[in-house]
Amino acid sequence: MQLAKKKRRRSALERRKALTGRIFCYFWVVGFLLFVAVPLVQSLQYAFSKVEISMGSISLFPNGWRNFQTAFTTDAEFLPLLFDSLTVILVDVLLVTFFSLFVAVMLNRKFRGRGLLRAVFFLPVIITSGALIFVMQSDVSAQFAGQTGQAGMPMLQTVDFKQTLLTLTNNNPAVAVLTDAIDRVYQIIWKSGVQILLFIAGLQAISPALYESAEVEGSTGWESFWKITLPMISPIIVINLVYTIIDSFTDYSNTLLRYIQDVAFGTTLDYGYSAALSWIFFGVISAVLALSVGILSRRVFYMND
Amino acid sequence: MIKFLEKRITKTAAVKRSKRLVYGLFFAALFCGIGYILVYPLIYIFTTAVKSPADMLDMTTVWIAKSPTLQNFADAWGYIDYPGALSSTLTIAVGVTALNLAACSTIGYGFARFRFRERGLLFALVVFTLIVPPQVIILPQFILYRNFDVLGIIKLMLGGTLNLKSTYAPFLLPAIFGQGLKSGLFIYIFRQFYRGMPVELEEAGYIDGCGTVRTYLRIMLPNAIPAFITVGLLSFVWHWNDVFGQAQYLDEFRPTLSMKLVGIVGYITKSSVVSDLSYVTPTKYAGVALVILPLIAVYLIGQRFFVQSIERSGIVG
Repeated sequence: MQLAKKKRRRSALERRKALTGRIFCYFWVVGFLLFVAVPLVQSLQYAFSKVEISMGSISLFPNGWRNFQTAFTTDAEFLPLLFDSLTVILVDVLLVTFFSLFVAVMLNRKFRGRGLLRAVFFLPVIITSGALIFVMQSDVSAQFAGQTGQAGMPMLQTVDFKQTLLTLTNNNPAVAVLTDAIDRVYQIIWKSGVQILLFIAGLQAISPALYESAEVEGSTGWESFWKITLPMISPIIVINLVYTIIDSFTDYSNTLLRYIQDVAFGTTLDYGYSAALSWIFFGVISAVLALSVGILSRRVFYMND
Repeated sequence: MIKFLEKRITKTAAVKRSKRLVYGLFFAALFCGIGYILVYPLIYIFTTAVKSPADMLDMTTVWIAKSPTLQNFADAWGYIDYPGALSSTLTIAVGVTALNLAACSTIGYGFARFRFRERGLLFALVVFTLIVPPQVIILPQFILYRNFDVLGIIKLMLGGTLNLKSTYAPFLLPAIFGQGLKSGLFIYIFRQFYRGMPVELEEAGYIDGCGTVRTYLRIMLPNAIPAFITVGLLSFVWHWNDVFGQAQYLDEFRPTLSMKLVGIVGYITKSSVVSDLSYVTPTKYAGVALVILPLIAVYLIGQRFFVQSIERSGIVG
């Protein structure tokens, strides 16, 4: 009987905690319904219509799956662009994650000039967002090798070496992926700003006591990294993965996104078709994201669960 | 025997030291290389910004101007209308960042620490809003703010819908509810951080008689400083530099720094006698420098708290 009483009491506390949690989270839902839900539904409506915009008024002519059909059957540009951005992203995500973790671990050690170096690694966050890159891209895009995708500095370009490798290996696609990755070194460095920042913050949240006790027990730095740093940082790895995927999909340099924008606001002004393309694109991102997070989240270590 | 041991110890110490030196040199070289790539645009911006037209035309001047001038900065200041644009940008960047920190940290905490049935579903929705390409909802969202209404209540009270265009409301209002630019990411960041914190901390709070809110404010918040700094910095920089959202809702009456900067070449060529590239380009980069400088300052201030939080987590952990 005592046991039953205890159980009931605990579930009351749990219920109260669930209520508090709901209050915290439903706050977000209210905002979602107010500001995002309606535009989202409307956009979905556009995807299934022919949209005509004239002098501030919008008229919709429903045309079923026509827009989606066009995307997959008659549009010569969409599918190749989609596959291109998919392969680029898969390679990029891996490289960015490894690179930023490596840099963050290095920047987390104590050495002279650390503050300065951290500031340097924050520069990409400042320079590659919004107005600045917009202004600078117009005339010196070649100067900022990472931004345009074509490395402007010949020193590190692997062109000749790449040709040799490719002929030697009889055009092995694996080699092509590798050399492409090296070509994108600049881009990877430029894309890693936010991820490095997140990793540094995550590393700082790890209690130094863990490392101290490991050291007392005779663990080497290498062992500490695998047994302490990696598990403790794994929640941040997931979020960096998610961020990198989203970022590469919604980046200005994404040719597919430019194409979608062009369809809507460029020469054709076909907003309905553009909405349909966005939704297809969006479905693909969701699938990629769900797959990668699903694989990874089983290995993530949370202190409490 | 003892002598032998001593010898051995000094020998391993020497090996260790030289090993560390080699590592140190290797990493120094590596980070100098990467650092160069990252600082390069900054050097380019500042060296170009001080060049006079004569320097621009002089083929032998690559980096350092022979007759440097600060006139470019003064001119760019005028073209951008710096004080006015700055106040507009600051209102958005500071306001939205503060709201983001308050809202996203609370929401993230709710997702991290409380169990309820539909939590997973709601969180999936949060990530979902993050993936929606902005292009998808630009047009409908614009219409939403143009004729803003909450369940018909505003229409009932005022007799018409509100036009929130050319106000700060399209930025501040959604941020209150964690719906601003990339707010989903910030919620995610906070959730991951709170989930990683030891649950004993909160239990200690509960045992000492704190309620949920006080436990959160007194115990969880101070331990999440790295997350707050990160989110604050990202939110500030992104809103400072954002062009598309701002150009969409704020027209010429309240232009922001980023809007002015995007149009700076037009302002220069329109209002000056010299529309020669040797004058326009350095002035443009002076404008870029004026916009970047406050951001670098903000980062340097934020970074100091980064270092502080190490010591904090040392005490609590």
